[in-house]
Amino acid sequence: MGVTGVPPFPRARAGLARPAASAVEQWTTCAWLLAVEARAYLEDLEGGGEQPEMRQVVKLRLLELLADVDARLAGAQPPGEDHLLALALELGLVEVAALSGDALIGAAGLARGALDTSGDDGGVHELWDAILDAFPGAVPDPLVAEGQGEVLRALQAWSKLAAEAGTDAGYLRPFLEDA
Amino acid sequence: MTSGTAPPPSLETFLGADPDAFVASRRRSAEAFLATRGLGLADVARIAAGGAPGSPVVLLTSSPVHGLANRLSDIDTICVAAEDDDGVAGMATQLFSGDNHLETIVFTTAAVDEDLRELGRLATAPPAQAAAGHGAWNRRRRIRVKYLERIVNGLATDGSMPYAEHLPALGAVWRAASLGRALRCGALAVIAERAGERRGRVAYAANAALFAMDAVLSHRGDVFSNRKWYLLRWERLLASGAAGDEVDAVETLRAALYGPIGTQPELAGPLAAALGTVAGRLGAPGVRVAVRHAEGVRRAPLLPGAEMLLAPAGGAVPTTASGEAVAPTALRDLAALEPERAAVVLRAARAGAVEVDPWA
Repeated sequence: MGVTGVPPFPRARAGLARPAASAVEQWTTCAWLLAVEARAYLEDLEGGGEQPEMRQVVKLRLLELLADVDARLAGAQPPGEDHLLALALELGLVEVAALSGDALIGAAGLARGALDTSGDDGGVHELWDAILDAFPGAVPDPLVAEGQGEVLRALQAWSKLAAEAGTDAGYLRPFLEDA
Repeated sequence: MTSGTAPPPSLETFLGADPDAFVASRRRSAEAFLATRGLGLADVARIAAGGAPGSPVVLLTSSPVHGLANRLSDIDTICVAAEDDDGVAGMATQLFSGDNHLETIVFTTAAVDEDLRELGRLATAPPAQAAAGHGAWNRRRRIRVKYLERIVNGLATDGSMPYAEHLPALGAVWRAASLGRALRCGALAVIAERAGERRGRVAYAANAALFAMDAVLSHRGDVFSNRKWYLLRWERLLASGAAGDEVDAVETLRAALYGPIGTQPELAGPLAAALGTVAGRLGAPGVRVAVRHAEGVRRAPLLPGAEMLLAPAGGAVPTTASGEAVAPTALRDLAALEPERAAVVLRAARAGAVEVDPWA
């Protein structure tokens, strides 16, 4: 994995299973968060070439998102928004990739300081590409024209998947509203 | 803590500028942005109105009207229609015209007016209530809070800002919401520092600084919801020559955060000083925070020396001591927590068993 050299999703790769109902909800929710929210942050980074202050905060928000995804994949309830950045910087990531807080800070170009806008974004793109490549399956891209169809097909598949796993598909409803 | 019940200032006082000049400047920002897409305000009116019933007022909203849009920014519009016979209100839709696409959402005049009245009521409430109202808004009201902010800040396609008179009320409520968030993050930073989280405390403190920036900006006429813009808007405020104790206080806090994450010396003092000044200048003096059990939290023994805390949302986490709740305390005094107790409080907060109340 580029700058960090650690493979993403180590426990899933290694075949550690979790009770079906919660695993289905966790993986689909994480796919959604990456598809919709993480992609929006990456687009903000791309468009904000002349707005380093905006990109700095977007990087912090991306780390918050990764901490949220990490907690869900660990089978934990993600803590409130207030805590996500602290968890990312203090604990690093475990499920998304084995990255210590310091390693994550380095990868995200935050080594000079939390609000220091002189760091570069290259590491963030490498991290994102590695996560996207390693995610099981093609994460839809709602920011492109074809993406709307991909998103709807994913939601349909997940509805059936939830039924198959014996879980209530009600958790998908907010995604439908966002879609 | 009770203050902040005075009505919001006049629009001119709030903006610190002549309202007509302010609107004209927004129009210029919007038109400059639209020109990069080969569009004018009239085109936006035509395209957006195509997706709405009747002859709606079409508002251009979000980063383009704030002069923050970049080459990838969306063209976000809101249509305010007299009626909604087709039942399209509240659902965002994408509209395409040539190479351009814009997003629009329809609300009725009646719904907008009703929510603006509620905004006006909240704006005269004490900060704790205004912040709580903002936090609960999306559960209780029809128009989501981010859209309400966009409507008030929106530029109509005729170049006017039909809802500008509500900016002072918007500012008062957004100020309270961001101040509350800054104080919560500040308290968590102090607790995390005592618990030994050298990097975690910086995370909380950085967010405390960002929310403090937005609170001051909202107080000074610049109201815009998304955290990603806070630092850039703050730099813009500084570049405009803004001065004052609260501006200096935020800059002092920023300075305390310089350098590699985790290497900072004690942050509790700078946080308490900066947030105390900001809160005092923004109508909420005498800041105290408390840590309270979430409603419905339970505990049961696990082993000698440990219990399981059973949080209301269904999660559970082991804890090795009681004392995860903290009585109302000044931020500075929160720094006197024993490290082991601070760790217990932090763990319980992350597990949802306790909540930080910044308005105690």
